[in-house]
Amino acid sequence: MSLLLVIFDLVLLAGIIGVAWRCLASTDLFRAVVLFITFGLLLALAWVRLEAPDIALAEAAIGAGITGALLLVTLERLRSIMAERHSGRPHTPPPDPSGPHALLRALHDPPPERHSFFPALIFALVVGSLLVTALWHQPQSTGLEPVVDAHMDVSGVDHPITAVLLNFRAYDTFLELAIVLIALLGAWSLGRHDLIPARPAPGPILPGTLRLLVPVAIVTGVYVLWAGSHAPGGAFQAGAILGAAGILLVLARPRQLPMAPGIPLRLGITAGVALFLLVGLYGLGAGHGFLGYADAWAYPLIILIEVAATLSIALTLVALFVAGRPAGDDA
Amino acid sequence: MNGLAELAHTLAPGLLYPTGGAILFAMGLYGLIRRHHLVLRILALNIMGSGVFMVLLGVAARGEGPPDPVAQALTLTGIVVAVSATAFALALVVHLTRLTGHAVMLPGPPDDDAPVEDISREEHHADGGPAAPHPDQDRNP
Repeated sequence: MSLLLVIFDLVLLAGIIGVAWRCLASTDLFRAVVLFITFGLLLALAWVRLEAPDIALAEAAIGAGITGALLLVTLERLRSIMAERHSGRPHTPPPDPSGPHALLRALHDPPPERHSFFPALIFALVVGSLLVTALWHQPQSTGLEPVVDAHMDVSGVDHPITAVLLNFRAYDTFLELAIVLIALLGAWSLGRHDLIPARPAPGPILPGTLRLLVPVAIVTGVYVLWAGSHAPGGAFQAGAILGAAGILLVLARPRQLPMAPGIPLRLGITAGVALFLLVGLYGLGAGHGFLGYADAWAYPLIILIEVAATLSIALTLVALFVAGRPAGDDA
Repeated sequence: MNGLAELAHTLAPGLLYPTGGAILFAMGLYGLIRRHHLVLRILALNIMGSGVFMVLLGVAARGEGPPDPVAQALTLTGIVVAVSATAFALALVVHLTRLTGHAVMLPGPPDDDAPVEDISREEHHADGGPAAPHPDQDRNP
């Protein structure tokens, strides 16, 4: 049995490394992005093998799904910008991919020059072998699992990873939500709401599928959020699933996209960080330390923070996909 | 059969996956140095990050008993930070392309004497304003 598992591990790792290599060696950017999405899905399988179902959920939804959508829309934007510059007219429809070479430069990267081959290879080999040596000679340790296990009864939840994320190491999670917010502020600072250069949805299949998929995604997202207190799941996975549903909606209706109302959108985007900060300050005032909870209040506060964080993450991911701050509310 | 069992012990996931993660990290580094298109460089950085996650999770799965939840929670945090950073980096690439007309970082030191386009003028067209710059403007300033 264990031999079969070893073979499975070896095949999976060979697949992951092979796909990553093809992705990095590809001259066609579209191909590279598709290979990267495949890479993310294979990684999710590896995380399941490493007994990390939470990470597998997050990798499949965020690493492969959302990142893939962001990369694909970026390629489409680059193509449209090149076409615009080429024709001198704004808002021309995206060119035929088999069009003139000048337009495709944005989506192609020629093979690298020969002279950088050996320096890069030697550098990567040295770094890689140093890492492998260090990892193979690491002393055995049980990690922090026994410590977390011993304190589970005061955490307020039954799932160790949620306990670590929202109680034991809540500071990390708070800063992480702040980083998500700052990334969006950075993207918004680059310009106003940008039209998504999506081609019109061909035929009735996309809207029809969407009508079925979005409710399922919302139910799944809420379930994953709720499950986070006692099973794999939680705010980040739920936020990613809801964000993916939002991205699908944005993609399927590029023509009649309603203008996002400025104030509620901003409130929703900052809800996670703001609520987290308020709870943290309350803990400081009540004598539990920054981001500390009273034992009896741990569960309701964690659920409250998770709901707000899910909302913020979902909205932020959709806003990052749309890119650019909403039109019509300039200072 | 004894030899096979020993081999299976040596190739336990706690050693195999960190090694794979180190290889991914090194490969991403190689790609980051060799490729010039910025989107490919972002992909290379993401592959390096995935290598780090694989090392963390592989080390967390070592030994008996359930895996280390702290390492797993940190990886979860890392994935969300990675997607935010990637989204911001991609927004920067789109903006750079809008300003300069290409998304490629060419080798060699930056050319400080190269004429710089008037960025402030173009910024107002970023939202799909009236006029895009003339196509020849960026090539023969």
